[in-house]
Amino acid sequence: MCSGIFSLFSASYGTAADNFVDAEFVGHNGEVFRLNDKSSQNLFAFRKQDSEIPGICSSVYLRLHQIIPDEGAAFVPFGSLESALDFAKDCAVRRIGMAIGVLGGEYLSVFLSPTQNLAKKVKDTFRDKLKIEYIVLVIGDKYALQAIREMGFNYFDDRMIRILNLGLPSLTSAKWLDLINELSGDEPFSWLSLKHFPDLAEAALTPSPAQLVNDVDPELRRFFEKLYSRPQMTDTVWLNMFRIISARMGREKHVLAIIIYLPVDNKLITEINSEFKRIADSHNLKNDYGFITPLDDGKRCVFEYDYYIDHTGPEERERAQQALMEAGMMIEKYSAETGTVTWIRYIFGQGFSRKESFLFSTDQLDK
Amino acid sequence: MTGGETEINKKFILTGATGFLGSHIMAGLLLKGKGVVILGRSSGGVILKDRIQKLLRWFGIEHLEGLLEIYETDFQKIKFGLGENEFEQLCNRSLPIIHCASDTSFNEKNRDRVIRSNVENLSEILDFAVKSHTKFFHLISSAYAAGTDRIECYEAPVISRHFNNAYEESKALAENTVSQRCNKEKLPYTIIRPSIVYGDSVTGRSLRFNALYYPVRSLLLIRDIYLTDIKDNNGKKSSEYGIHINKNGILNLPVRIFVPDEGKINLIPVNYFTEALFAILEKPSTETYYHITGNNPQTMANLVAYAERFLNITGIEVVIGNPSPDELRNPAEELFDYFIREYKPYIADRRIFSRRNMNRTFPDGLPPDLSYEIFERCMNYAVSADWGKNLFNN
Repeated sequence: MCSGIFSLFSASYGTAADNFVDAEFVGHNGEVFRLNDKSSQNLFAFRKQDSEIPGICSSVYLRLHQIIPDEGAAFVPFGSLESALDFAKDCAVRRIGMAIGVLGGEYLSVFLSPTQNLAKKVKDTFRDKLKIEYIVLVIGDKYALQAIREMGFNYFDDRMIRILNLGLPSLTSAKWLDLINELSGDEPFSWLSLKHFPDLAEAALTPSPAQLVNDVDPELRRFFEKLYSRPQMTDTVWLNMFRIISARMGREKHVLAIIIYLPVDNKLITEINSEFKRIADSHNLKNDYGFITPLDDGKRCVFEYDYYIDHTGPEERERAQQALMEAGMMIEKYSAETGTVTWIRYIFGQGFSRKESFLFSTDQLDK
Repeated sequence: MTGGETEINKKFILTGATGFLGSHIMAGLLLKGKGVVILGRSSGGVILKDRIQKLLRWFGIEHLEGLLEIYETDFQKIKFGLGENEFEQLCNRSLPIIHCASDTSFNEKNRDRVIRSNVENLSEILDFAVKSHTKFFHLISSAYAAGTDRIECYEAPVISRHFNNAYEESKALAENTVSQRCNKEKLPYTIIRPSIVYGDSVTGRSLRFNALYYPVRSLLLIRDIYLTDIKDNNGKKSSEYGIHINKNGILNLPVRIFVPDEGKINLIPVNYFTEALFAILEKPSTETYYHITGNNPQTMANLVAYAERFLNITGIEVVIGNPSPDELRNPAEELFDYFIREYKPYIADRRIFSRRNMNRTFPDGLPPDLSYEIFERCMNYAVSADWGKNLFNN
């Protein structure tokens, strides 16, 4: 509760302080206080500094958000981070969709694939054959999804996501994918607009739980087949609603998520993204873009970049520590220069603060 | 100045040398012992010289590299972005120019880019032509610059006001720009208009696999999707649309191809294009337009029959007329239609191109008709080159 709390739904529902009615804490000296007590400490405030948590949250009253029966998901494909950010920002500004996330190939392929081996092939297939570098995941009601089409973007809808997910092994070996982008000419991903494309994809990918788990260890295959027979496992709305963020992210190596808050400024984001990569590469660490979710109607966003380490190897741990230190210095540099970049380390412990307090620094004004 | 009359007769300046037609012009000139001064640019991080060397290897003429001069240029920059001295020296040589560089996108979304590349970029190269008192300016245009206002298309300036796409329109504008400027400056010029060019009719080799190749690739893709379904899924999806393997082992693929009317496709092989072009270059006549076009355009039905035979499929039907909006179309039909959408104006084209000037210049040279043997040769090469992916391994 004290970390700030965010998810793709933060695009519309905000962070922790936007969602609680009241909370009870046990403070450092054992005193009990409630946030709504006029005499209690002001946890809405924020200072860009390391802070200890105000206490243990012992109960909380939360607002609930209504579920709309026609909610669905859209995977909107993009060839570049800039174009994906433009679209995600546009959706956020126009308040289209409840959950919005700009996902990278690593995040997406690992999330979809039951095995590490398949995840790697899927990532290559997305990038090399389908020319998809980024996907903007939007969850919204039927009107939001219609609006995306009216904005001129084609996307994988719920049916196509299910076909894609259950047909992943065929996708990686499908030779016809080479042609589909080339024959799409100057309108990339326009094949997604074909009324019958899901039919063709079903014929080509023969999607099924049995097909998906072909690559799983034989002794686990039956279990996974049963698991993927449940419709929820390929239901993007359900998976996000219950925050089934797969432990698969850490399947190959331990994940060190570096998280910052900053404006949705393409130049700044691509610059910082490159810096994260440069630092990790210089320490020979596996690394990849994670995701970005717009906040506060697209004015700001939360950005995760991931470093992967084998935490059982002392030498790699040391390299990771060095890389994290350099990444931290880089963040502080941008923070000082722009006044609008905030590292999540300062939010930990101050997660109850109003998001406006950490998204919009008044430091520059104070000076 | 590095040459005089002798050099003028032996060398050409060529733009677009890394493109399909341009590379064949370059190779043809080199094989005739002519020198070629290439004006072009890097692409995808590969410098022009490396791009050209790759092409020379593909043509098997690396030994002729000595006849080339290569200049990295940008037609959007003053003096092509060359240094003052370099540009002046190039001007002083007064070499004939073959302007072949072109953006061939048919997509309306790329209109601005196509007009900039095919029309606006001409101003700098025409300035150069004027300054260098070029011996001849040859514009490689397109037979389809004729536009859509008339069925009879003459070897004459364009009078149409309507075009199928920005590409055709840009070529008409480019022709107009060249003729006006060259007439004003009294520069000799020709306008050369090929129709749709495919691979070499003798060897089957090609560097591009669009146009003629697109419908075949599309059918191949669709065939393979349903063969996968039949093999891996007992034809569950295929059976919904009557797709099956018949008793002769041939895939029955019911696909109706709707073409707007009973037009034809005007195709020429690239080896004929270069032969005809060299005939023009031998004795160019100023202010003359040349149609390098086929005498017997193919019908779509004929090409479909070739494709069915080549792909071992049956059931493709050519339907004259546009489908009604509520016409039920199967997934294969929808996908095929989507793939060839930009080529539709050319697969049922009623335009007839007169060849009076061309026949006079090249009286013995008529393009070969596209027989199944030529078709098969070209498609076999395309498949072996994986439609361009393994092009430079062959």
